[in-house]
Amino acid sequence: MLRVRLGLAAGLLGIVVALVLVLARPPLVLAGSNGVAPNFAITFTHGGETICQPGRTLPQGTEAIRVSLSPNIGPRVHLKVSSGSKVITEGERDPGWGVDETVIVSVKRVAHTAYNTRICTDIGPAVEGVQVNGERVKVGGGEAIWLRMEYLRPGRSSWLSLAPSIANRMGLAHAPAGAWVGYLAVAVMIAAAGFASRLVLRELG
Amino acid sequence: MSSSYDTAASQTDAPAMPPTTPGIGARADSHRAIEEAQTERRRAKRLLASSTGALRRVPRAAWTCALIATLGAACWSVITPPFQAPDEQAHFAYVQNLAETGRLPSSSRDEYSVEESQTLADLHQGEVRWHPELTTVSEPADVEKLRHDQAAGLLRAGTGGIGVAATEPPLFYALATIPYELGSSGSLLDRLELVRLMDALMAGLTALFTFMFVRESLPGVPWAWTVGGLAAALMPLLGFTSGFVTPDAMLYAVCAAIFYCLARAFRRGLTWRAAVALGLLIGAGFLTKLNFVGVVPGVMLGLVILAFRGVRDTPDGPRTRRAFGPMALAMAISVAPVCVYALINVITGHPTFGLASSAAHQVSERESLTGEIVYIWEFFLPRLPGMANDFPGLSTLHQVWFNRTVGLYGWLDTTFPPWVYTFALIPAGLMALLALCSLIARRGALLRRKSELLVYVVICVSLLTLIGADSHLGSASEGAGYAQPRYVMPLLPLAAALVALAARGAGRRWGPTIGALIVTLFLAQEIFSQLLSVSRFYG
Repeated sequence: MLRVRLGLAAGLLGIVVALVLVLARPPLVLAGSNGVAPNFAITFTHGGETICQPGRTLPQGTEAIRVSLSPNIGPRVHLKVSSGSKVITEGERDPGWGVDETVIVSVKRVAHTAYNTRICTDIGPAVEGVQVNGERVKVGGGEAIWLRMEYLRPGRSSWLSLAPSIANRMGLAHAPAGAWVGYLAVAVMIAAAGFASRLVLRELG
Repeated sequence: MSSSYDTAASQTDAPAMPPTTPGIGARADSHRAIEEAQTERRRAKRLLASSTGALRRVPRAAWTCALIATLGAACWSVITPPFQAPDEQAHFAYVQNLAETGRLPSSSRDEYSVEESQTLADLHQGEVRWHPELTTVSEPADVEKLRHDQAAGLLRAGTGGIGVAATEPPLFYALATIPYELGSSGSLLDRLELVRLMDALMAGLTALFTFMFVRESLPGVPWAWTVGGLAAALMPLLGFTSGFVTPDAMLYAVCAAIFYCLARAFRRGLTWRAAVALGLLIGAGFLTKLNFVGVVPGVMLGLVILAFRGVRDTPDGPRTRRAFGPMALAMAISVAPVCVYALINVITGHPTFGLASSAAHQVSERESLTGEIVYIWEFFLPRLPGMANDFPGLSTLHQVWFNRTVGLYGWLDTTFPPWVYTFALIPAGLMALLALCSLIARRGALLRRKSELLVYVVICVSLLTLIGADSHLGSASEGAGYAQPRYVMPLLPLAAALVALAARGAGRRWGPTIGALIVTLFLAQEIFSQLLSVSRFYG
């Protein structure tokens, strides 16, 4: 009985600690982009290729880059950002992501703003045609495909401080309407957790 | 107890004799009529008493699991924005078409009603879908436009073109017209939410029958039933899928009930009552979603095996008689609705299986059988030497099925950060190890129940084969769009039994504690999955 109580308490405590850690962090927000328009489906790739293109300015604090690729099951995507011969940051997303019009690749945090960067996107073998949203650009005598890149870094407000505005949004464009819906959802889940805990203590304890 | 109650009731309920006695023959007729009426009344009372008795025999823990699953799904129904879940706009259009015109859909074209089309436009549904960087509408002008159009009384009846759901059978949608009609005086969003809440109730039924299945299949350790039942109730994929308009929610409930009835029949024999229940459930499955076809071979095999095993008067007693009659009855009941549906179509000059006939035609145009088998194998399992590589650079089992079961929400566009999936491998691996230990330790009991296990294995294999074959069929046009764990959720009761086995695998001393930790793990997954969806759509 005591062991079950301790196990349950440890599990619930773990949830609370994880909640605090997650909610205390700010969400990733848009810090900049490479300025390429995300034109829909300019081509498809079956992977196994690398696309290098100008990355323009990479803002300080960038922790992730959103790339305009779209599949049902995404391939491995590796990004390498360099300025001159120096690699500023890089990161990789394992295959299997999707279904999305974009993929977010986490990169090593950029310590200082970098200018005139170059980004190389290495796309691994793909299960299906990967839709590329971006621009066809004339380069030299030929034509190149440029992807849209968006640079993401942590915002200033934590998730917790954003809770009231999130509750407000949950009450719009929805039935039932009103900010109370968000708080009701929280109350319902707390009640569900309570019922589950009580049942565990009664049946397992 | 019940017989004395019946006698007392029959005495008090007996009508008074007529004041005059016209003749002996007339009096005999009158007595006979009274006796028949009393017999009918007694029969009705016995039926009611047996139904309420059956409900009373359901353990409180099962009801609690049902309540938790319903609450979770109801929560998901307010978190997931309208039409930001797979094909919800088509499923709702089916309900609306049926409720407003009384007719089944006439085509797979996306020709929704003016009311739904306008709502989709006002919600920017197409723009938000598959764009995790975009949240739901929140600009005052957009919200005002939406509210204005919701109150405008736009035309609700469409032309019958309801999109991808057109090929689905009608039972779920017919049931959904009840909450739809209840909200008919409200806006489209009101009606949508009411239908979603009906789905949430289905989640409750799924959890209830899953608990009962675990109880029947692992009767030895009662505390483990709760672990399996709660794991199912708290599984976010159940809550998410039962939180939007989709026949999947009902399919899960029907399949969970079938698993329960099968497990019960394997312990107590295929009685007439069990046969009727199974027949009705299989019939309901046929009329709920086409994917149910994948479950049927295993269930039919189960009926045949149960017929040979026969009926036992006590759960573990000797067989007293074969059960071919109940088997035939179950099979007849189960195919009856399909036959009636086909007959009506033939009489009215429509394709035999309605719009599903066109899908069947596509099936006949597949490529080589070997290529298809290889594709289906690799769709779920690692490639074997000598096989062609249909999924280059990808571990489907881990990077698709496992990761997507851990978390994939919204229009399949809402995922956790990649590290979460890596972390989830640890508890999942430990649970798998514990379940394996438990199975090995109880291999003797497993062998004794090999025919029952064979049925479950056939159900799994046939359902997975159907999903893989569908994916293969659509791979040219849709890629691997069928790689969605919600399609394998009809197997939830088996997964719950494995979770219960994992807890038992920790031994008598630590089993309950590990069980408590497993429950909190599923609770955590549910909570963080909901927060993930909130952050994606409203953050």
